[in-house]
Amino acid sequence: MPREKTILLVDMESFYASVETARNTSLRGKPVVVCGDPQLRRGIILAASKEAKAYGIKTGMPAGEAKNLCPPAIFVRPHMKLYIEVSITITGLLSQFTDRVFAYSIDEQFLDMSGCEKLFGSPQEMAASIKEKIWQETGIRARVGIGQNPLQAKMACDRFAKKKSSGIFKLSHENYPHLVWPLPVKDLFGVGGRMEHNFQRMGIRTIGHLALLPREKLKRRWGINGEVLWLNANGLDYSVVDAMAPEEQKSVGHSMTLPRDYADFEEIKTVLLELTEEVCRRARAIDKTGRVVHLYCQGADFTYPAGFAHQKKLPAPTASAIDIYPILCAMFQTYWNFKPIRKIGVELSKLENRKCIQLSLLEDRERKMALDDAADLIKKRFGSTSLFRLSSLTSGGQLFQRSNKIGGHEA
Amino acid sequence: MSKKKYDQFNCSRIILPEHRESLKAWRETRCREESSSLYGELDEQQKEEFDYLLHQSVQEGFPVNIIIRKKEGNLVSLNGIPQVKCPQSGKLKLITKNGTEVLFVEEIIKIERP
Repeated sequence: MPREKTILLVDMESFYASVETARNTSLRGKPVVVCGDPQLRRGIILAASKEAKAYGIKTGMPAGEAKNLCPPAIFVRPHMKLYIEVSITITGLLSQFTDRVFAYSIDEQFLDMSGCEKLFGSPQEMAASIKEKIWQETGIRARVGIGQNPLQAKMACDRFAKKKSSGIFKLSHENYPHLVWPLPVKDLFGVGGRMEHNFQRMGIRTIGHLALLPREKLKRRWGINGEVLWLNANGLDYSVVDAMAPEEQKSVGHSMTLPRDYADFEEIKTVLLELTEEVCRRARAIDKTGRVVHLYCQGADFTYPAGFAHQKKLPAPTASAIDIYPILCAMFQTYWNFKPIRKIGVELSKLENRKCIQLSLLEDRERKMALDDAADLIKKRFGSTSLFRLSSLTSGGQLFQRSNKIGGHEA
Repeated sequence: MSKKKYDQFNCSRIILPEHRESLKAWRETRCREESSSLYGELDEQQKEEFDYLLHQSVQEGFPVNIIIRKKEGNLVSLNGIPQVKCPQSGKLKLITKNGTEVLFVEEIIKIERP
C-alpha cells in the first residue's frame, strides 16, 4: 500500500498588512489597511489586519467605504517589492523543512512533508513548528491546512484553519465527506460565481450534492473542468508539489485597470500598444515567442457588465509588438461595443523557443528581432521609460505612471 | 493528459512576474550554494588528477564520467570519451552515446573513471 502523503498549505494572515505591522511594530494591534492611491481607481483595499476586518473591512473594497466603516483605520500605501522579498524569505524558511516547496501565490505556499515524520513529528507538530518559525523570523502569523493532497490542504486552510484559534486544521480522505460535504458549493476550490450559478440552477446546493453526482455527467457537461470539480468535491487531487516545475511559464500576460474610464478609441489604442510592448518584452526576456494572442476587456458599467475575451492565432510565432499590435487593434474594433472600458489585458500563449524561427522571404525577421533585443537592452540598463513611443505622451498613455510599479502598485 | 486534471494548482497559480523572477534567482543561488557545498572549489591536486585522467582518456580512448556544474547551479553527469582539439579554447568535446556534447572546462567539477 503506498505511503500516505502529508501536504501542508501555509497561508500568511493578511499578508501585506502583516508585513507592514512587522516593519513598524507601533501598528501592532491597530486596524491597519493597505490600499493603493485613493485618488485613483487603484485605491482599493489590498489587505486589512484582523482588527480592521472586525469593522467589516474586506479586500477589494474602495478606500472611502473602508474609511466610513472604520474611522480609526490606519491607511498604508503598498510596498510590493518588500512583500516579494518577505515571501522569498518565507520560501527560504520553509525550505529548511523540505525541498518540496511550491509558492502558489505571494502569501500561500505548499509543502510536501511526506516522510518527514521522524524529523518533525506528526503533521500537526510540523505545522506548529512552521508557524512558530515564520513568526520568530518575520513577525508574520501563518495558518496551515494539512491534507493528503494539495486540494485537501487548500480546503483545510481556507475553510477550517482560518476559523480555528490554533490556525491549523487537517483534512483526510476519512473526514473529508463528513466535514466538507455540508458546505455550500461555492466554498469548493475552483467554483467561481458563474459555476455556482450553474450549479444552483441544477439544484446543487452543497459540495456533497456535487460529489454524489455521476462523474461522467459533469464531464459531459463541462468537459475537464466539470471532472476536476467532481474530483475536488470528493477530495481527490492528482497534483504533485514540485519545487522545480513552477517557473516554467505557459503564457505571458499583462492587464491594467485604467485610472478612469476610457471611451476614446485613440486612447485605448495607446494603452493597447503599451500593454503589447510590455507583454512582448516579458516574452523575449524568457526567450519565448507566442503563437496565440488573447485580448480581454472589462466594461465600466457594473450594473450592466460588458466586456469580452477573445483570442487569435498569429500567422507565425512572434514576440514583436509591431506584429501583434495591429491584430489586437483589429480584434478590439470587432468586439468592442463602444461603451467605456475600465480594464484591459493582453496575453501571449502557446509559447515557443525564440531561438527557433521560421525565416521568411517577405520580411527580415532576424533584423526585427535584433531591433527588439537592442531596445530591451536599453530599457534594462536605463529603465523602462528610457525608450518609449511618442503616443505614451498623449492623454491615454500610462507608461510613466506605471513604470516603477509592481502589479500596478507602489514598488 | 489533461494539465488541469493532474496539475490544477500550477494552472491556477497567481504570481506576479517580478515574484517569479525573484523565485527563479533565489532557486539558482540556492542550487549553486548547495552544489558548491557538495563539491567545494577544486584544489591544485584535484585539478592535476583530472588533467591526468583526461589525458589518459584522450590518448587511450576509454570513457570517463564527468560532472559539470551549469551556470544555473544544477549538476549534470555525463559519460563519454573526451576530445580536446585546442586546449586554449576552454572547451572540450565529449562523445557520448547520445551524440557529441561541448563542455566548458571551467564548469567541470569532477572527472572519474566509471
